Amino acid sequence: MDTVGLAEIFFVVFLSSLFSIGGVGGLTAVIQERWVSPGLLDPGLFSWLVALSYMSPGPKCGFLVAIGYYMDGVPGLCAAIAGLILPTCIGSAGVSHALAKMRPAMKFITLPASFAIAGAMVAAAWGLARLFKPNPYEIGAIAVVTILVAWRNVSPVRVVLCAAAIGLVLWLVQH
Amino acid sequence: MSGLGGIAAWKAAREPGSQSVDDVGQTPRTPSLLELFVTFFHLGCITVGGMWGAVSTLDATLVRKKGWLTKEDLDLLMVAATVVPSPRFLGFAGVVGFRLRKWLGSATAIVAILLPGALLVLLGAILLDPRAAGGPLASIGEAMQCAVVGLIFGNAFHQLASSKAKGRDRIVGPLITAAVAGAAMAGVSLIIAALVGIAVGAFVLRNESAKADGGK
Repeated sequence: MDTVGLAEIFFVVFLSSLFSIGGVGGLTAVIQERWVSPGLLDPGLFSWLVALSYMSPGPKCGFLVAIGYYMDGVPGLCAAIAGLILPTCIGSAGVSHALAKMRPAMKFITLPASFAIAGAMVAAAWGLARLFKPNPYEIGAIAVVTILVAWRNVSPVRVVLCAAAIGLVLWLVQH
Repeated sequence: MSGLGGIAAWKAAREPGSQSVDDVGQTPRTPSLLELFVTFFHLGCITVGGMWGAVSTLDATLVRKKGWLTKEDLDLLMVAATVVPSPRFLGFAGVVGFRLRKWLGSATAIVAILLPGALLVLLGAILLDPRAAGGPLASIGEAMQCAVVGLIFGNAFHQLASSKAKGRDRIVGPLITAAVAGAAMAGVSLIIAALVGIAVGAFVLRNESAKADGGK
């Protein structure tokens, strides 16, 4: 895996944070586009970190810190944390100072942003799937997970734990 | 605007000599940075399901146990966190930290709530890296790849469903989603596609949203 500079780690994490209004899906979309698609971050490692993040307590963006570490060690980890802190601090201050004034303006941005970010998430999922070239069975599994999450709102923790169990069973069957 | 009224009451309560009390009978107080760090680190360790999943824990800790916020403030700050450009739970820590200790408090609360999950992910990735470990972990890793792709597709649907668009926007909005996704899949930079989608959406969807607001 190629290393990237601290400034880029900071910038990409900062950018992904801006895309996370409404959920962490926007985070994965930006990371997928900037680092996974160009081959800077292994798609298997990326999926693994995202899966671990879903199973961890607290905010579901811990994978960004781990990615920072994998990109450039402890300095990369610190750059990723800084990239998360800065927009959140500025946004928190802005919201605290001008909540009442900002709310009408945010309405005009939030609605189109939710549609655009949904599109970015679809593109990110498509790009990630293309990278590991799923076989027909895996495409079927992706479709089942998509339907379960979209239709039944199944918890991500359950999805990840079930996938781990299925992976283990498949390995046991093959060996 | 009862939430803003709650903030005004709380600000009054923080004035020196004020005798105002919150709804649990205690004056909201300002914590030290260390106390703020420890409390949010603890919250980062014990809460699952994101900010909305942790409502009762946040209420028990920040309102009833610590007395840092009134219930009204908690509710308002949770709503405010949804417009901060960051993951919601992180945004919540940011606005609460800023309310209690300004910039330093905001940064302290964000780092504190982020660290437990981030360190767990890092530790898990180092100890259980499926690429290095091989064996069953490689098979588990492949299954998880499918799960994560399905999760992102499913979450995209929820992102669409949670938009609460009305009237014509319910048709135009998904078209913007499709256009952004199609452009990004065709090779256009994802960031540029999304930004253009937001700009076009703000122009095209504005009238529908304004009508909906005006009707309230």
